[in-house]
Amino acid sequence: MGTSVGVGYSLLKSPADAGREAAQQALEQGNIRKPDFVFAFATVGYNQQLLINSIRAATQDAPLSGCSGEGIITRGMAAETNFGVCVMAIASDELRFTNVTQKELGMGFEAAGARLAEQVQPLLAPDTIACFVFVDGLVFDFDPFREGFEKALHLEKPLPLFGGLAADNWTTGKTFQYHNEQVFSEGVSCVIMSGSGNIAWGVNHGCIPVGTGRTITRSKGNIIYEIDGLPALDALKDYVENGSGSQWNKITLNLCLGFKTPDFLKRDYGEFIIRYMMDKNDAEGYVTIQSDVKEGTELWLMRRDKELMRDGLQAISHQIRAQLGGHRPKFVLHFECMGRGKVVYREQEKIDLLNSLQEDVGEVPWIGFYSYGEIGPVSDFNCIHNFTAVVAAVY
Amino acid sequence: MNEEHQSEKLSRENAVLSQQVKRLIKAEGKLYEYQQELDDQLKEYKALYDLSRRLSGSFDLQDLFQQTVEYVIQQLEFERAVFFRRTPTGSYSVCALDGYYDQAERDAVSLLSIEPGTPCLAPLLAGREHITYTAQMQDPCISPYRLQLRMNEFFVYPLGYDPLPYALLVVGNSAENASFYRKVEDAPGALVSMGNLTGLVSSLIESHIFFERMTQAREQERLAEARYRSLFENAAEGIFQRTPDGRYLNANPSLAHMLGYASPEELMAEVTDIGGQLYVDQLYHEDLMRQLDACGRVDGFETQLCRRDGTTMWVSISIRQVCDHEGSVLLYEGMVEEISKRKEAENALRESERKYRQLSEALEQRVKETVDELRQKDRMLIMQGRQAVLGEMLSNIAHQWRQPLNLLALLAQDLLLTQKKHMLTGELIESNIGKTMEIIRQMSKTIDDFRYFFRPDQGRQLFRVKEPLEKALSLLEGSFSMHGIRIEMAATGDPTIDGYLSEFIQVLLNILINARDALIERAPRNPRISIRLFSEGARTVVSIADNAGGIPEAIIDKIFDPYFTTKGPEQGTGIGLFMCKTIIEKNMNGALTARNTEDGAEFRIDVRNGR
Repeated sequence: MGTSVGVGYSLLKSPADAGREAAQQALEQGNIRKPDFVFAFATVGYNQQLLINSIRAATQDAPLSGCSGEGIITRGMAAETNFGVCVMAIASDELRFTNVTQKELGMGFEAAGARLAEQVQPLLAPDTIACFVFVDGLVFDFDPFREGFEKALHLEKPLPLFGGLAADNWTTGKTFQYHNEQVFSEGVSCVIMSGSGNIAWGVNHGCIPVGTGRTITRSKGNIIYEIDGLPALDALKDYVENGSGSQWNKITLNLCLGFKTPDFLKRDYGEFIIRYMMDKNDAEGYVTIQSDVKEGTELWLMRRDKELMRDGLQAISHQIRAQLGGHRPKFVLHFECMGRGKVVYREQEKIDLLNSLQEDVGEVPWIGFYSYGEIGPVSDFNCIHNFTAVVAAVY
Repeated sequence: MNEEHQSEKLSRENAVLSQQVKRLIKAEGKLYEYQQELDDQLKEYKALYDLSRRLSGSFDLQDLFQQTVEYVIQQLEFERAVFFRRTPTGSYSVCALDGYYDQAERDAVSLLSIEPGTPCLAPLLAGREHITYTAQMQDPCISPYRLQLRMNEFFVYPLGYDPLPYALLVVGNSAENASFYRKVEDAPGALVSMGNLTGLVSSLIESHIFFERMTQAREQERLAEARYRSLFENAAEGIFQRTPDGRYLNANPSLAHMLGYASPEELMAEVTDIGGQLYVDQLYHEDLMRQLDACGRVDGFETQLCRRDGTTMWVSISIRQVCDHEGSVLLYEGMVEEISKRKEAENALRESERKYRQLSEALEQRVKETVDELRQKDRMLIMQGRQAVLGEMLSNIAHQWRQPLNLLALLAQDLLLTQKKHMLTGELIESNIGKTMEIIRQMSKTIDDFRYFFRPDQGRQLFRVKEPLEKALSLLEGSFSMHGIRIEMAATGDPTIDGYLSEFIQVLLNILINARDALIERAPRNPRISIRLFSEGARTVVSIADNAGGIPEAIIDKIFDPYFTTKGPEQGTGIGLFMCKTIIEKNMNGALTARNTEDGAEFRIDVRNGR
């Protein structure tokens, strides 16, 4: 049989109708009667439980994993709206998908990573290819999580992690993760993919530094309190129109932080690692990012550069094609930063870029979402990225 | 110094550059914002254009309402939209809705209606373009609508003025989901979007209204024209317009057909002088024209017209003048109804009535004759019965006279023998004569009794019942005693009857003779006839009962039938009891009934008494 994959989407407003429409399209496109596994990504306007119920009903309760995003991506379509859902249905006798979940990020990210690893461990096999994780993007700190996870797995070579951080469209203060029939927040939805197959991927951002380097003068974990001796927010205020008051979401989309890439990553990733400031505190003037940072670390204020992003996407497709070595992917998972969507590109530009990337990779089922952070390995190291596109092609 | 100057200069340039970069970053942020707004607007305009194209090609208002609410939900990013349409009563009821995904909610909202006097509609009816109820507004008048519409914030737009709004579009969000949807506020973005939509839809609705009205008017016009054309073409009556000088301007097929022409065109072409060509008697035409001049219209003018083939027919014409505004006659128009058949029918009816009268008179005569005949027959039957009784009576007289006649013979022989013996004395003769006279007197009484019964009918009279009863018993006394029949007579008072005496006697004799014959035939041990005479209210009753064993039940219902007898052909005629019943019931309005008693039969005569 091999692997049959179909993707469907819906922009209908009714959760039941939208879920059913997307799932049915996926099944029809893949010519699948009963899928072995389902990926689902949706935006937060829907009643999430009703939406997942309808997808499950249409896919005959096949195992499902996914999360909420700022928008959804399929082939030739990228919709950043509060009401969009996309579904990928997979039926395969080559690939095996097993999903687990970890809902206790509150216990500490390292511990949560270790707990997740405990569940993943028994599922690992010699032919395990990768692990997909969909994590709450509002509370997540990747570095301790990864450390806990990898340490607990105790593998010679880290299990490649791909995924994205769930988004809420700055509406509810709550993101959602999906695991089978469950919808929850502040958790991780995780899929172990094993079997006869491989994964090719590319990671790229498109940001350039603005001005000279700065130094973090006070920080703790993933919180930056001071930059060059100034409260972090003060150091940023000159770059935004009306200060850092109420427009935080927009500010952080236009302006992000860049850190020098460690040497071991520099070859595959470039000079800077980009970080999105996912939160701030006006009273104390600090900002929060999605990985840990140490005092004395150099940082640069970065801005998105459309040309670089365009070039970056081409680089991704080159990377993937190089890895594919002529193989045709079975499907593609695409995690795109929401800062690279409609907030920077005109609608048509965005679609054109996506089409270009998809054409380069090939005519394959494609699904993804706009995320609050992207996860993908660089130089065999699992990393979190911001303002980045992570494209993983399973072949 | 130079280096310092250079450094200072570079530092200044660096500061300027830094400021420029900062401004650039800000400008870039702004640019992206505008870009996004522009994209949203373009997307919306494209969607609005598509909607406009779809709706412009549709003439289905319901489709327009449905597509509009779908557009509001899918394109304008509001949570809910409800379209209300004005009903004939002036209220507004839901005709389309979207954004309600709970079936119970959807059902409840679909039943909503807004009455025309509702205060919250007042601003719209006064000409406001829309009403905005934001989430912050606390107007108590809105609360019920918030609940009913399941919207915490909403716009209300009137659409299609006619002159009141033809429809209302309500668009908004619930409190719990508002953050995912476009905010309801008097902000330019939302108002422009809603304004564009409602402008388009409102003008389409007005076009629809205009189109519908025009279509309706055209349809009514077409139907009216078709109706009148059909009436004109298919009317059984001839319809025409003619000139005062006697030419047809217009005629329907029926008139042409009536007058023997193949088509109206042929009629109009060939008849150029209506009075001269069509009227059998032109004087009628002149009379019609005179009446028209005098009255302006004439109804039911009957005359004879000539067909094209020369045959004639009767017609009824109704005609009127058509004048211009100055009163000059432009033309005449009217209807012609052929009444030849009606005329024929009227004649036939008159003939039929005459025949009916004749027949009726003949029938009346026949009935009279038949009644007379029947009466004659009744009289004959009564006479026959009377003759039968007469025969019986004569037999009785003969019997009663046999002994006195023998005595008279003996007395006569005694006189002769006594004379031969010369023993005849005056005393003996006197004694003999005395006895003879007594016998003769007795015989004479019998004759008188007989004559009493059979005297001619003296008409209706009041009589005492005792008298004919005693006479009848006296007359039959000999016969009764010969057969050992005992008579028991019980009379209470002296009842009377107003009736026919001789016929009543006939009845009594018939019943008594029947009783006697039955007793003779059945021969009971102590044969008797019991007679009771009494009054019962206003009625006189005579009951005659015997102990001869009664009438067999099988025939008791038939004994009053004519020609029914149990006596055999030589003894009975079968009309006695029939005539008794006829006399009592028909002639005297009484009742004659028969029933069986313990040991015999009882006949009861019941007649209204004479008082």
